[in-house]
Amino acid sequence: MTRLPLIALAVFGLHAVAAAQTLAIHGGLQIELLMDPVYAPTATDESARMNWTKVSTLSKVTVSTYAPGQQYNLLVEAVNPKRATSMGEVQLSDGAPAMDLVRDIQTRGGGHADLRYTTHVTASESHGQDVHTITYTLTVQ
Amino acid sequence: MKKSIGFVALGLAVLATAAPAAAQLASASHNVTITVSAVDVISVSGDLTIDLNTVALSNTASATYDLTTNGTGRKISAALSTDYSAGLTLDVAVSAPVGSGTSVGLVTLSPTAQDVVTGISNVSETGLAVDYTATATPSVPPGSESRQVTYTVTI
Repeated sequence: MTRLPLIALAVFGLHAVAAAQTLAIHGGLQIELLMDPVYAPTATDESARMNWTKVSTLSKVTVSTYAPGQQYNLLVEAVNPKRATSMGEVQLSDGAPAMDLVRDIQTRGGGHADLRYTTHVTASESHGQDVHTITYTLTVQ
Repeated sequence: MKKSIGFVALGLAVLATAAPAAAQLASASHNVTITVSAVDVISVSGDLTIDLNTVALSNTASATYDLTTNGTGRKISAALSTDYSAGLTLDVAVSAPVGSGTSVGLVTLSPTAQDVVTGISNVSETGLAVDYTATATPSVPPGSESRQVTYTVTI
């Protein structure tokens, strides 16, 4: 009977440690990629950086986007990762499942990676605008 | 015996709650906006000379044009800088892009803009044909006249 509170506390204690880990994006909170399909068909932005605090187990970051009516392609790549491995360019498509952006996040301390967005339009693609809300999630690998 | 069953049930419930939190540790979001501007670009190849004489009162020459538009419902119009002298005419037939649009066919050019291709949407093509035909009546005196033909993309 006396063992019950102890076990319950232990489980809740682990939960609290996990919740303390954070993932944050600095800079580039409103990135705008302005495209001219004839004179500037490719645009790149690398103004945002993703930071994470020390993780307690091998972890990864996944990425997904919410962009209703998406017209144009958008790629994101984690560059210059610290204590992690970039998975290269990831295609961001509305409604697609989250994809791995960074893996093998080590437990030795916090880390970071710059976020490089790239988009390319062809001359015959219609003019318009896409708005992406991009979500990065730190999860256990 | 009853106490033992209750303990197991509570333990499972706590673990089930803790599992999702352990898999997803944290998340962050931001917005990225892509804006593609409207573009309508047309260019025409170099100057042409058409010779007419008493043997050939009508002659032809060809040029090409390049067109890029990411808009819809576009058309190309053509206009002559000023009229030729009486008895001289210049006709043009402008081919439509393969992917979009309809050629109006042969048009006699004048200072008033006239449609030469209509119904163009979202296209980027090069080397499209522009075929001119110059015609003179026998009463036209010898000489040379030069005019500029302007092509415009409009809605």
